[in-house]
Amino acid sequence: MEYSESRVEPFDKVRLDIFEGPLDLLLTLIRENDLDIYELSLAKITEQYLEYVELLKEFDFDNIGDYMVIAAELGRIKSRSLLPEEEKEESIEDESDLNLIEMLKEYKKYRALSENLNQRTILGRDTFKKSFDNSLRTETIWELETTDIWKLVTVVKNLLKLQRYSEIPDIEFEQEVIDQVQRRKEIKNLFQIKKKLKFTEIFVENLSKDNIIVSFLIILEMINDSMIDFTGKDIGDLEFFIREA
Amino acid sequence: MHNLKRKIEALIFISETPITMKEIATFLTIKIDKCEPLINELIDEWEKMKLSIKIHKVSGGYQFRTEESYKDLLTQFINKKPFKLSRAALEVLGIVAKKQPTTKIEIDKIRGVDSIGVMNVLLEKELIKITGEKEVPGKPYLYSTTNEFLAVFSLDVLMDLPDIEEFDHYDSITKSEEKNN
Repeated sequence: MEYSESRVEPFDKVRLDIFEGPLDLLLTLIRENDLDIYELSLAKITEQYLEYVELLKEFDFDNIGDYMVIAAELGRIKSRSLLPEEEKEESIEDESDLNLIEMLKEYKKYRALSENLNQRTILGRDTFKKSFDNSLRTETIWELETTDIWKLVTVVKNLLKLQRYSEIPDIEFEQEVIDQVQRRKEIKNLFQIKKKLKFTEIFVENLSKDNIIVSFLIILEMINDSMIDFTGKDIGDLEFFIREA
Repeated sequence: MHNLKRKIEALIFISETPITMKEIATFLTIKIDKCEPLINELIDEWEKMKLSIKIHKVSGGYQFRTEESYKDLLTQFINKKPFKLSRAALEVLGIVAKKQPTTKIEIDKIRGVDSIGVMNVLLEKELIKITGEKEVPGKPYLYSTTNEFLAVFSLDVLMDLPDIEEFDHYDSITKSEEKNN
């Protein structure tokens, strides 16, 4: 991919650990495509994985390297899957130290464990103990993330794809400067007017690519700060709502 | 003359963190095997009364906790901004719980992504702690889960978590989605 000049200016360090990582993305794609964890499945979803990585690059966050490592491995698997059977046998020697299949299988168990933890009776969420501080200051109220951020990323990805932004940057004469603070205010105002917002009400038509990305990062931050959340079973009907304070 | 069982009940009631059987027995100068049946009777009594609180066995001790059906009421009463744990944070917690003592490198290897941000959150919230250094070049820190982790997740001992191999054929996402929708 060509380097895009119109990259978003460094965002105030968004806590991007709300993305679980490349293995989580892979498992999500495998599941969405109704596949099991086999080499052939990985070869099938390589393109899709790369599309996500292209988008994540735009967010410019530290962990992108970890996604690239997996991307390279997928590329190797994909090219191997294209080889005729007899040559595959020979190429076994160049097996890399990453065994993606084993990694995914192992990771999947821990992801299941994390969901098991989430379903437990949690002190400070489901059950409470006597507080020894009348102001209740010492109590931690926990909230455990249940939303699937990849859903949101998918919508943004599709939006950018739909509008064919990838072809536009070359003819941009003036680099648009997006005032994050201003955009944040705009989005907050939208939520003040309506408690519920459809995805398309924030990501209105004709937003520039950079603006979409900035808006998305703002939304992520707001979700992370528990100000808003989203519902929607399919990516077509995602809706954001303000959370009770 | 106070009944021994009621004394135990009072001790459990005023303890800020789960009080252990050993602490109770030592304080009341009774034998542990005398203490245990009394505590079990207490747990049964509170259970049978069907009140809004009962005695839970957590983090190696005993603690009065509220019933789950009062969670909305109490969350409203406490009226405090919740601290959000990401799914990534839960993943790291699960890995540390199962692999402890473990290093950051091992955690990153399982997750395929750098976990430092998440680990700092968990350290800050005292759900994990540094318990030593691994005797390999570079002497990386070793991490383990804390008693606070057991208390928060209503676990008595670590062994109460299912064996990791039980999740081998578990289609986690589907199940949790069914639950959420």
